[in-house]
Amino acid sequence: MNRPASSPSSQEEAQLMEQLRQILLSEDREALAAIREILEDEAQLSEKVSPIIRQHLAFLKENFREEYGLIIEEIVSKKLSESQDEIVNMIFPKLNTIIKKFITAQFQILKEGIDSQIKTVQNRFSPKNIFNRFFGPSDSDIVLSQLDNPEIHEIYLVQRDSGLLLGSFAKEKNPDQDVIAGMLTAIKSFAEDAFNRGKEDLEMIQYENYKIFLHNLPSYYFAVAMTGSISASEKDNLSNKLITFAGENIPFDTTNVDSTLTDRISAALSTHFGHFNIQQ
Amino acid sequence: MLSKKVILTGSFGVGKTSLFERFINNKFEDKYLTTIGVKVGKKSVSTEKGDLSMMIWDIAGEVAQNKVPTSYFLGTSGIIYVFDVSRPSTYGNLAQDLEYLKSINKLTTIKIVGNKKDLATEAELNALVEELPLPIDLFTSAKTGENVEKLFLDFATEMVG
Repeated sequence: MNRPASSPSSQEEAQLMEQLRQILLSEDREALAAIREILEDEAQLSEKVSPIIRQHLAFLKENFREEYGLIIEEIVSKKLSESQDEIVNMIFPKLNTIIKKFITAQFQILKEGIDSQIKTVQNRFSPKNIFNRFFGPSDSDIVLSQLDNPEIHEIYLVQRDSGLLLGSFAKEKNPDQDVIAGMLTAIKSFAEDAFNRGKEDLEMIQYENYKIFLHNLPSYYFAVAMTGSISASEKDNLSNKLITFAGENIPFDTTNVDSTLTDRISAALSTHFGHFNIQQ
Repeated sequence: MLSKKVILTGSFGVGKTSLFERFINNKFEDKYLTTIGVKVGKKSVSTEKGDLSMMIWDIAGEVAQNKVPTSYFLGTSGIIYVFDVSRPSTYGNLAQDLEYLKSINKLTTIKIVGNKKDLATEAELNALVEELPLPIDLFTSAKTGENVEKLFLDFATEMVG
């Protein structure tokens, strides 16, 4: 089929389209060239973008907590819980140094306290003090006794082999005294067996400031629970008091343990140790 | 009221602590936790012959009794030797263990108890009685509580008398 005489040829059509593009896109092309120039030139790009970044940074600085606080907290919390061991390993040497410094400082304070108290002992060469130096308590005993007075809280009298309670005294009533007597005997037996010490006896159980002083006799033993520092002379006082008590109040035959016997011994313990001052 | 010391001994995992808990606290735990050292508990019981305060020592299990510290057995009025009816290794040393226990405490009464009765049939228990070299005093189940009270009450009656 022939093209009509009035319609343009395809070549003319293309030329017309190009002219139309030139007319319509010339402004866009100029704008595009200008943008490209800005993008390719660092100085120009910086001039345009920097104020926007600065503005956003200022916004973040002001609003960081509200915008990202919760997310960061969650991440940190998760990371901390996953890395507990690493954190402990990291902190421990530092902590150790701090504790050592603290203990050294406390020892220094204690030493200074003892030195100052020893200096205050007047008339060191008076007849009384000269007598005390040879036959009385030592300076360190006097100082220690003033620092931390010993106090008896509980006394148990326990059958040596069976661990059965023969009698007890407690400032605050403890309902499990029978079980405590049994467990103390088990601990004593275990320690004596484990270290294979033959006829030797366990004499003290201590944790922190709480001590259980064990005074062993052939068929039973006393367990005295106390706090404070006990000097050698106070320990002697206590031992003498326990031996005297045993001689006066405990029958020779304690093989059969019954409530009549335990009640009688408990009452006697209360009478003798209720107001006993270990320092006298 | 008289007080007496009673020991629960035997191999590990035979149910000594379960018998102890069942008798003292009337409790049973399916979970197995090995006993470390000794656990001491107390229960007062009334018998026809009088009341008794039982101090019960639950000792950590050992394959052979001569591994248990001898001092634990001193001053004991009664020993309960426990084995597991479902585990032959726990009663394999029965004769030697009993001989050893008698040698360290000649005056003590000893009871031989097969625990975990609920895991065996009547026929299996009868076969076990025939098989073992020494007479069994009682089969118990700490899980169901069967014969537990009876074990300790019978023992208490013997000790009071």
